[in-house]
Amino acid sequence: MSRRVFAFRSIAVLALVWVGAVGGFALLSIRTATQQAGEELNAAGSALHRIVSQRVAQHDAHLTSLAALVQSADPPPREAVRQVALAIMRFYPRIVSVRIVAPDVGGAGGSGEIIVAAPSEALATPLPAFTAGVFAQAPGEARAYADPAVPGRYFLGKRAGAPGRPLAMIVEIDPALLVEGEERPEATRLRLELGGQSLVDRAAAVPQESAALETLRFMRAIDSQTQPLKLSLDRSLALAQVVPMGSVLLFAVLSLIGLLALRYTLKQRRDAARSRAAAREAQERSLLLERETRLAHASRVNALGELASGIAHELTQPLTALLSQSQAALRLAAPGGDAQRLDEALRANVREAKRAGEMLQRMRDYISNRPSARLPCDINAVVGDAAALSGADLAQRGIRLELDLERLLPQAVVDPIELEQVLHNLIRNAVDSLDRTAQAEKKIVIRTGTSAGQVVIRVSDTGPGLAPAVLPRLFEPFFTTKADGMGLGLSLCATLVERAGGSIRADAGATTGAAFVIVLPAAMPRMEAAQ
Amino acid sequence: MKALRVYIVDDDAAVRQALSLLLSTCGMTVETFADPETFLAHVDTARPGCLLVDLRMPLVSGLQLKAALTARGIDWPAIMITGHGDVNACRRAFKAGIVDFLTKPVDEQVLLDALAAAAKVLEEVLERQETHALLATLTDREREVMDMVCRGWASKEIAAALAVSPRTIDAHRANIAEKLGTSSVADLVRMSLAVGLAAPPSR
Repeated sequence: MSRRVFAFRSIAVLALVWVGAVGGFALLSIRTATQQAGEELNAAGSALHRIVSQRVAQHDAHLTSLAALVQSADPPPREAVRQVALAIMRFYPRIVSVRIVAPDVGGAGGSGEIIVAAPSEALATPLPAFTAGVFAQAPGEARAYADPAVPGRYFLGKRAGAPGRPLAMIVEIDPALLVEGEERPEATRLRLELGGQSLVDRAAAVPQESAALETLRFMRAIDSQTQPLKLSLDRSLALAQVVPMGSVLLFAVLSLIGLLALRYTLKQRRDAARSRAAAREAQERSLLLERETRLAHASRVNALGELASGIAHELTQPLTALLSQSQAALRLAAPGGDAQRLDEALRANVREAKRAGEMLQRMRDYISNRPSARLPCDINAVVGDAAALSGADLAQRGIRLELDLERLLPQAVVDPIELEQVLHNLIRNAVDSLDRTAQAEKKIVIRTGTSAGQVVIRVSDTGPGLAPAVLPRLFEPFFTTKADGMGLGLSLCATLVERAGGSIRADAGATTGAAFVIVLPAAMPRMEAAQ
Repeated sequence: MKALRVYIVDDDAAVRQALSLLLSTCGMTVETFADPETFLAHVDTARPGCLLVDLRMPLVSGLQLKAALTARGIDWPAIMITGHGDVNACRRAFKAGIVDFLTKPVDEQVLLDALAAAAKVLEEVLERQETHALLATLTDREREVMDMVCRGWASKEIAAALAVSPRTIDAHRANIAEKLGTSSVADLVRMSLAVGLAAPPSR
């Protein structure tokens, strides 16, 4: 459950990182695109500014040469001036008209008398209002004028002529042709102003599909003493222009793939590390188990010294009986002996020899280091088997065996044969204890259950119970309270149960009779990924 | 010699049976008991015998059994047999008045020798008890006179010391001889030594 939550959180983090990365990329793209557009506009503006400045300077040059011609004679050579003016106009179509005006003699009426007009139609055009101003200029001075009456044009007026005989030279210029270049600058709006009056205001036909995100502007005064024109270029950038959708999309896809790949790799590595750890743990556990088995064996071998003295003590009894009986038999076999008693003695000898043999077998069982075959077992089934095995014997002795088995008991990893041996020993002890009592109800109860995730088996009887004095030594090898016991049964039980990772103890809380409790670790519901 | 009576106390039925068979074929009277309690419950001073006891019986050890018997004034010889050649148990056994200490399995001849020795001890014990009983029948004055006789005093000397007539002393001596069944001074001295009454009479 907690792992799933973690996975969700990780996906959320992943999405956040992705969105952040794509956003960052888009912002960076906008900045780059804007900067690039600005630089482009600057370059285009500078180029146009240079061209316009050069052209404007040409106007000054034409005026100067015309002025020289006008002043070459008095009166000026009208026809020559006209021809030159027409030639200039042919070469420079932006020069719409050239007029040379002499002041009115009477000073009344218009502002002056046109003495030269090119083209000739200009003769009919009324003189602009600023003509008088031109006469007021210093001799040789040129100045630019805008005439509200003639929008879309500007004029350059120069005062010429000899002193006392002033002339005004007025050149009409089409500013639209002034900004016409070989290539149109990439701008949404181009303006040319003169003294606050707009001469050219050209907006490019930009489709208004999206609002302008940002407007860039280039503005510079034209380099001219006489014509203080101001050039300005605007360029508005739409979102679609500055955000390269294609590359952003590509980046989004690539970054998503990259992030997913990274996450997959990390997950793989984590899983690999986890399974490596699990494998190592499993290996350590199997090593530990092996060591435990060896240790259990070693501790039993260690007990061999004790065992030897135990064997000596146990075998002493049948040997004593054998020796004495055989010597008695020898006497009985002598002439005049009692044949029936001799027979009895020999039968007793056979019995004792067999008894000694059984003791040796039990001893062998105890020492043998059979590798235990542990597997997940149904404990109830093992208990049932053990109960069935001793059922007939118990019935013969008038002892009732009661099983109280918990359904749905978890499995435990044990060697079923070893567990059966343990249960058999406990039942044997209970039987011996019950045989010693004259009690009416002789009963053995085996109960299974769970406690704290462990499987618990409790074997109890209605016998006289355990004396407190013997409790601490119950599981010691060769400790016994039985006349013919070897003191190996419970010791073996403890060894076998502990080998399976469990424990066995006498239930001190038992009120009547003796009770033993075996606790076994429950098998895991399913084996984890540990191979 | 009267047949020796042997009490076998051992918790192992087979051992009891085997020893019983062996000793009975040797002409002894054998009684067997599975544990000391049963033996103590059935012990009869009128039927004295030797004890053959397993030292390491559960509940009451053989040594404790011997102590329990002594407390009852029963001083029969006991032989310990054990499966353990335990030196400490051995030392304690002799301190407790055990006449012999045998390890299982025990050979017939060793056992019979030990029983023979025990029988001799039993005889002495019984004789001492008999003497004790005989001496107990004497009056105080007769005991006084007997003590003096045992010290080698003549009747006249005894009469003088006790301020009675020699004839009275003679009468006492006749009574003593009749009660103890002997008039020999040597016998008197032996009996007196056996029960530890050789000390001079206190004045």
